[in-house]
Amino acid sequence: MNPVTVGVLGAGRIGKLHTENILRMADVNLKMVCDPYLDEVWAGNLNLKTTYQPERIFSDSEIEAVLICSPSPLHAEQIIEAANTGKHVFCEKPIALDPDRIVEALEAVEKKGVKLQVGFNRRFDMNFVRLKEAVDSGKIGRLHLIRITSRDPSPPPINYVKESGGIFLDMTIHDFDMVRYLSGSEVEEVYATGSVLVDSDIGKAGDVDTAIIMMRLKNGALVVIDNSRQAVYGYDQRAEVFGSKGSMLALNKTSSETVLTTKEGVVSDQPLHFFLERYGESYRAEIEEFIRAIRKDSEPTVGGKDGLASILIGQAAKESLREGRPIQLET
Amino acid sequence: MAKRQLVAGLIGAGRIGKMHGENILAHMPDVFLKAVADPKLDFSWAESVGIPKCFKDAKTLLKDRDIQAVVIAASTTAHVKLICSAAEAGKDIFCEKPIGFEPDSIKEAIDAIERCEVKLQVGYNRRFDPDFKRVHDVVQSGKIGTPHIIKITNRDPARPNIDYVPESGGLFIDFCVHDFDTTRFVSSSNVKEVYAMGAVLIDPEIGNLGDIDTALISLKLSSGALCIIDNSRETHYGYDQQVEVFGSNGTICAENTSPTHTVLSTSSGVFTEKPYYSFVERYREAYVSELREFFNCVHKGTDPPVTGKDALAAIKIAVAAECSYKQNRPVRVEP
Repeated sequence: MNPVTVGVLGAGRIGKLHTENILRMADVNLKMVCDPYLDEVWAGNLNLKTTYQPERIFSDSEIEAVLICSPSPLHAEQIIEAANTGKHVFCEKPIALDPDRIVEALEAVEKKGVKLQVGFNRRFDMNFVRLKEAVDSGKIGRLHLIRITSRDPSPPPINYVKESGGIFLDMTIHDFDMVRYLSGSEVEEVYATGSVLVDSDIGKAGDVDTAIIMMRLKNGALVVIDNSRQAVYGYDQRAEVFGSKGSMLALNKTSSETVLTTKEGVVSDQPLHFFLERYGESYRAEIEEFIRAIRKDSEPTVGGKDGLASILIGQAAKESLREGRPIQLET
Repeated sequence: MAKRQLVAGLIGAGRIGKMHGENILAHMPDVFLKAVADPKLDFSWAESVGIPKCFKDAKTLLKDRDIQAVVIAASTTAHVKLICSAAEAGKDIFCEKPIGFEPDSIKEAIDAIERCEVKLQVGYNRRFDPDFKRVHDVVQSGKIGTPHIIKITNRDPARPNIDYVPESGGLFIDFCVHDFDTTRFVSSSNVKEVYAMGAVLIDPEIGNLGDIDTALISLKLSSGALCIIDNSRETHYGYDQQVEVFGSNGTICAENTSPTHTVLSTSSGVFTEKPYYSFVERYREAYVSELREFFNCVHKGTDPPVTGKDALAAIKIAVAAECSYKQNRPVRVEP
């Protein structure tokens, strides 16, 4: 079978990660990497063919698929451009902060009949895959509650916060997608409450750094997510699904499973530091899924409508926080 | 010389009353449990554990001038009246939670206590659980910094008898009230605002009676911290009781406790034991400690660690939670 030929748009932190991953995949041929601010040393070390101009990738008829890892405001137009040039698209989240803009991109994708996968990598993490299996197999019975704890080790730079769209669209969006993934249901109602407890500059930027989001799902289950921009002990990523027959927990992952016991106490490793460490495997698995979908001509399991749904929940959470009341989602 | 025994009476000898009675007899040699009163008294029980005086009517017990302190474990609807009568009779009082279903009735009890200058401790036993107490102590020590997020899981092993539901006062007042007290206890902060979501997912009969069996409650504390409580009336796997306080310098979790800490590994998986099944087992130590603490306060003339004011604060949150659930909006808690 011929390898799938791909191009990478954007080689920042996450673009580099995907690039390095696909270089190790036998059935993928990486043709070109584009970034206007390319890290030449990195590209040189990997012997990459590079360009500063996205057009070079779009106009290359050999390239069947693109990985969009550019800054978020460019995502929608690059999806449209890729669709118009007949290329399949893997796009980092979010597609756009504005739902209308997402709809535009999805329409282009549909019209041109290309595939679109959105980078909700956590769906490919084994902890969450197991939770999903427990829900789907009926092991925990009918779903009653989902609890997600999602806390970053440290807040992003304040300039990033200002352009992030706020904690719900930037950070909780992964958790919103996780809720839809685990439950197989849609969000009917959302209530969000927040506080500025980590950094007053985040408050001055009009955002919160600590939040609790409650949701009611169409299937009747209730959901709670708790977020913090700063857990000093590491990236805290836990979840529970609780149902009529029992509960299943996903705990934090650590770099080792050692336990040190001394007269000072019992100490084990802290959670893996941040997303690159914690979700390393899932970034590979999601690209493998994307390549598989292209080869088998099947739909990627996490598509454009998932990208849209999580943004709509995030926008509703924002509105709830602003107005101090629960918000119903349009169905 | 042996310490003079403190003379106590027990009012109400249902499941909880019997447990308190037996705890006094087994663990508190400096307390003499002289009498028990219950309109439906199980005389054979009283005789078998060795309580000398048995009454059907609490009034008779309260007339006994030897008795300095009473433990009230009657049904909730009788609590306020009993507290008032016991206070008039000059007894120090330990009363099971909740004192009453409404803030006004609790205020009535507090007034009687203050007027008669007696002590009142309320049975928020979880404050005396070693795990919850450790969470409180660690937060107080500043080890986790300023609290940001409090998470409480409180789930019963099995749904209540359906006959109990209409007289329970509803999930928020009957069940979550413990969590509201725990929130205040571990955070040392008051609650400003509450928003509650509820659902009937376990037993439609509970819904037919106008109650819910599953709930999520978020609280905003005066300190700015956020709190989330999740409740279920039925787990099947045991009594799920967990608390986490997450702060600027770290987090502390109290996990479930189980009868043993063994780990069984076989080709089908790695198994640890389920949590304790009932509240009597889970909080065995806490039930003893709370009474011991109460009798200590009576002995020493000090103030009890959980007072009528704490009970009032918890009920006010419960009332606000119920209002929030019914009107589907966040509700300010009455100060």
